[in-house]
Amino acid sequence: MRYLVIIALFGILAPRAAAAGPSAGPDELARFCRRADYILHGRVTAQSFIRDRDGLIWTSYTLVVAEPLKAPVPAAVKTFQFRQPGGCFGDLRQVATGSADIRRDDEVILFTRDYGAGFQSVAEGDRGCLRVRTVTDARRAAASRDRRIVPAACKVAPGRASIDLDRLKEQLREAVKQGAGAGEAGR
Amino acid sequence: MKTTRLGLMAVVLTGLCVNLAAAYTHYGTSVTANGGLLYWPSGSMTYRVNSQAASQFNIVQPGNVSSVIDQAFGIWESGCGFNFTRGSQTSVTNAGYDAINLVTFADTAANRSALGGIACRTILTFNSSNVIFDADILFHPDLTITTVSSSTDVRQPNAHPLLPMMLGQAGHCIAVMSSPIQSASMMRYVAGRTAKTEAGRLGTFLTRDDQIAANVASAKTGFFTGTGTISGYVTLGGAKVYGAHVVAVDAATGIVAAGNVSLGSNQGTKFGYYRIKGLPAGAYKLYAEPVDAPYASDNWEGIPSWGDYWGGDFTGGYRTTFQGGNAAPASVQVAAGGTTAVNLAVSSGSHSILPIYNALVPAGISPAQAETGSVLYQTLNVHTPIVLKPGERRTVAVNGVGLIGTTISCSDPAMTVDVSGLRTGVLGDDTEYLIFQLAVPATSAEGPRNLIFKSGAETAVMTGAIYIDPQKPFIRRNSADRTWRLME
Repeated sequence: MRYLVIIALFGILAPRAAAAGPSAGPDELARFCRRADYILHGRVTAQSFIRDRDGLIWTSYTLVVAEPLKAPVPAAVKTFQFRQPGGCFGDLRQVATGSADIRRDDEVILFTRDYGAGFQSVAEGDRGCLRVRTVTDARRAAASRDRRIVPAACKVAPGRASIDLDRLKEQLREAVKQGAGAGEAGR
Repeated sequence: MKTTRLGLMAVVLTGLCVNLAAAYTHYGTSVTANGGLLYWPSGSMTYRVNSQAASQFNIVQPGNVSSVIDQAFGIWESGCGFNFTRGSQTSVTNAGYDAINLVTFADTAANRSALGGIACRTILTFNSSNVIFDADILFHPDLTITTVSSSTDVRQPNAHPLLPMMLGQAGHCIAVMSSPIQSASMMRYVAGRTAKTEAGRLGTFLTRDDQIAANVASAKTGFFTGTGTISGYVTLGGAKVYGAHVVAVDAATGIVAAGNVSLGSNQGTKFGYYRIKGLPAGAYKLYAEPVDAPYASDNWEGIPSWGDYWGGDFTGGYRTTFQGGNAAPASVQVAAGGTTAVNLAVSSGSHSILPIYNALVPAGISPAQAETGSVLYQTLNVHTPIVLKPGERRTVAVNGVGLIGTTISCSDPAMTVDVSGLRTGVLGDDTEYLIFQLAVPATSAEGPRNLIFKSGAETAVMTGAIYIDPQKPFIRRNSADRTWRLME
């Protein structure tokens, strides 16, 4: 069986027999989704570099949206611009530790947020960009949990070790619903 | 004949690789400038703290913010000789490229955007000749930080200790990047683990691995005098392997000595090359492991997509392979001041054994007791090395793939892996768990050890999963009210 696997898992670590134990999982995922302005499935098609007035270099990406899973406006957007710190500008290079590894042609599930600067940034550093990869070996996929993607506390119960893309999107839609209207303090 | 070839190769490599990346240092853009490493040509850096830091509402005292920042830089300075100087406070709030090496907690839209919701990060500015111009450290203004710097003191509820976070960021300033050795202070999640667990002093001092990286980056002390090097290429079916984690373990004690990651294709003839420096003379077991689990590529920092110095995805499709074979690993001899050349040919195939997380179960809890849901859940969900003191016996848990039925051992032959009360099962995410006990001899020396899982010819290693620390403090956070309690 061939899975489209997100190299990041929302699996819970409670034993099956104790699945009713700590139940923070869905709430945590809902909080993570709530903090994002946008959650988008799409493909990165372009990147460019911007240097701001403080001298910070940003990489600006273009995402061709396949499906918006959360968007503050009706989802007619086909391309989407977002940034993260780090990049090249002339002879200068900047590295911001904890940035996501985003490459042209990557298929991603992207979480972004405007943190107050007037543009959408990758949320939560490298945890806010899930690279979609085709993994043929389910056992290997099970071990490919990528802790970058989701905050450590973000667990989904009851999860699975490998999640196909459709299943993940379904979980995200549900989490977005749970988070809707609950409000979120801070920026 | 073989010895002669190895010796000749050693001479050649020594000549070519004066300063090429070793330990976990950040490769530069140029393969040749400063041996391929980022560097400060002056050998020094003056940092300035934003003036709002002292009055930041969410930094809880006692203590002084600046003194903890000084302490973190001072730990690196004493470890590698690189000169850090605190300059005057500055009203500059935002990170950028302005020749001010800033430490800032300032609440501005620019900083919030640059942080993107994470607790802290370092922004390094350098050029195509590998020269670092600027290093800024940002802390999230919403983070509650305590200046209590050591885990030996009881801390405020929910407060993150500043020193482990600051230590990691200060290391980044000299291009020391995150370590995949789980008990290194530069392991990426060190701040989180010291905030949540009984990880002890880790994050408040430099482990040997951290020291080696610092001295590769700085090279201002005689740290490497009298030590040796193991270097060579990692290959899979004759092709060079990028991103293999190669680790040297003291053959007698099982202490993890140091490691390195094999280079990418943009490093030209050094593609697939690794180099482990700082090894005391002696015998070592050497292995290469893929970066899949428990150490994923997220253990490295900020791999950029504009990549003129990384070089694409890490090579996959191979298993952890010991030099000499997994059944009976060979000993690699290292002489003081010498370089031993070892080319590691790894075995093809994907792992069927893949440990992911390990955890130290609270004291006094048996494997059977630990199997109850709440305990296992609380312990198996953070990046926490198993910190033990000499003479201690504790229950530990590991989860992953294909673990049930494996033979469990520790790289330290003096340590006892007690599986008499072994508990096994399957977690909600379909990973398997093992719960067993580890016993440490009273005479154990400080340092990291590996947990090893074997099944047939296959071996999987959790590198540095155990840290023996005679100075281990005895506090842990109460999960109910999140306060810190003295346990012993």
